[in-house]
Amino acid sequence: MNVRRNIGFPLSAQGVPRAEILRRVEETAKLLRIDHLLNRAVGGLAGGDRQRVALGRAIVRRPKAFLMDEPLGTLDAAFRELMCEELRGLHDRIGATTVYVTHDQIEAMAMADVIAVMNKGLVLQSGTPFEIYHRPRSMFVAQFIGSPSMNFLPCAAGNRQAVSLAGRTVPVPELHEAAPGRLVLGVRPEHVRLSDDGVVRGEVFGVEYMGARQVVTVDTEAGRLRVRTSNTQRASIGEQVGLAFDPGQIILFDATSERALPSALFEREIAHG
Amino acid sequence: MAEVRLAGVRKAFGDTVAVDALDLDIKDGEFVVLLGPTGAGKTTALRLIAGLERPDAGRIAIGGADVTASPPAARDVAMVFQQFSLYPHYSVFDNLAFPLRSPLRRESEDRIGARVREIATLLRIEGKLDNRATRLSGGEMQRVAIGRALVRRPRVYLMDEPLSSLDAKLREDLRIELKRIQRELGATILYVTHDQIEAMTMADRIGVIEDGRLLQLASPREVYGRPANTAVARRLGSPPINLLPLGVLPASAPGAAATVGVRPEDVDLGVHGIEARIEQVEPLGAETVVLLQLPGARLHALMPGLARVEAGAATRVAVAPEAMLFFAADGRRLAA
Repeated sequence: MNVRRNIGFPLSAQGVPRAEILRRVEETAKLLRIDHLLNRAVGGLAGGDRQRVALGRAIVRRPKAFLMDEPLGTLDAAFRELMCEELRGLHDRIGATTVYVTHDQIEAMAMADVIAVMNKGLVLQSGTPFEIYHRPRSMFVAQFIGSPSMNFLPCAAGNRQAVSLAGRTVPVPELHEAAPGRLVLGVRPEHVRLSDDGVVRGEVFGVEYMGARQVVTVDTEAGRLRVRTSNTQRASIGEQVGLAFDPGQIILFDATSERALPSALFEREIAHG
Repeated sequence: MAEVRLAGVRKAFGDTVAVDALDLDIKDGEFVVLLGPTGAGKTTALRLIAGLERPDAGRIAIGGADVTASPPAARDVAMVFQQFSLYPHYSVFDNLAFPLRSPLRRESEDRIGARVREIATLLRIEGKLDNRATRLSGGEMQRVAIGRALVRRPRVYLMDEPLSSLDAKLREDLRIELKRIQRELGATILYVTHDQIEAMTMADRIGVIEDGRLLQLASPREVYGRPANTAVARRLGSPPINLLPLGVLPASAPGAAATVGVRPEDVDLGVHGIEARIEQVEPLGAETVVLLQLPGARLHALMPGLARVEAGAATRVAVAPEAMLFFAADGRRLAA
């Protein structure tokens, strides 16, 4: 079967008149930018074009909602990025409600209006990508989204504006409730920076150059930490470094319940990041 | 450990040339990663070095000795496969000890035990030695598979996508562990993968391979920053490099240039430069990817953190001259 008949199949199965099928297949193919492939056999198509045909077969029916189950799971990473962008663009053009399931946090962040993080049959948190990433309500959500994932360091309660981390005082966004004794300090790798006058010191364990970015892993007395920096930051393995936290971005979790403690951070709107 | 040298190696399967004119020098103690898409010839290159395939042409030397005609066992290499194959009825200890108990080796049980424990500690599975191999998590199984190669002290380790079947978190951890172990042992490793992050984070040098040919062999920073051609430029970087026809951006390009390459992180949005429209915004958390429509081309920009830009808005795009790469019509990079 060629591309045209593949896309038209759901309509011919429903007994839609031929002229109407022809028109809707053309329209769908244009939307997906595969109108030049309509007379080609599906067998010879590249992986991405095949995926576009499969999408076309769903779109051509004009359903009220799209349900997508990891449609990009089999594609290689570079191509997945491209298709993410394409799917989001397509959604913006069609405007149909879409529920998309994936284990891939990048796909979720890149495409969703709302992300619902699920585990063991429960929705743990649902919100915009911003809320999920910057205002996670639990350690599970915090570590599930983000790569490398959020650093977690055991610490002890101080007053409402600071905690004690490996014997040092670290300022945090003001807490709105009394902190339990055992806490976990959560800080994203991009909110830690190498700095000689940092609050904790440690030894560089690994330096991972990634092109546009770089991840430096540091073993400190408070635990192992990952730091995300620009590709120009120089660090070498074995080197002693200081680490400074962006105090406005720290999230504290109750070590027992793994729940995020409400603080001034959770009141801040998107504009303040 | 030893150096490995391939000279003019070719291997075809029927009409398909898997590896062609492959020259590769791996230094003693070096970690070289071959990076390429499925079908590029990466695994064939490994199998040729291991002796599991015979080349149609060319020579292969390990530690200065020509092994082109030697059987696998005489080459003293250890291979880790993508799909780990452990002996399910054995304990972790026995799985790790197996290569040392070969009748050809005649190691004492004391020495075998000491070596197994040393490697298990290195891989952080020392607490699991008495477990059955089947009672392990995926990550632990893969560590045992890697450990089984490490207990021997072969001249070269060959690794075929050993992390690809693991989940993302575990891969992140094992990447950095494997690099540490390689450095501590001074091991010579040839590692093949299609994952650019694995290549960039672990390799001393990356060999970018496509259609059986080695396109460039250089350090990660060199391959990323000074790619030999457009194919190499596209292979590394996420989001991928912007390759634009000459004339879209103002540039003082060399005469033969046909294409300008700009990494997304080098695209500046703001009040300077040429007019553009923001098509799409992907807030990924630590960074934001912005798709831009320029007169005559689309362009990706990568901005740190949460960028305050909105789809549909107008902006201006500028790229610093030193961030531009120039390529000829045949794809070769030109000196700026």
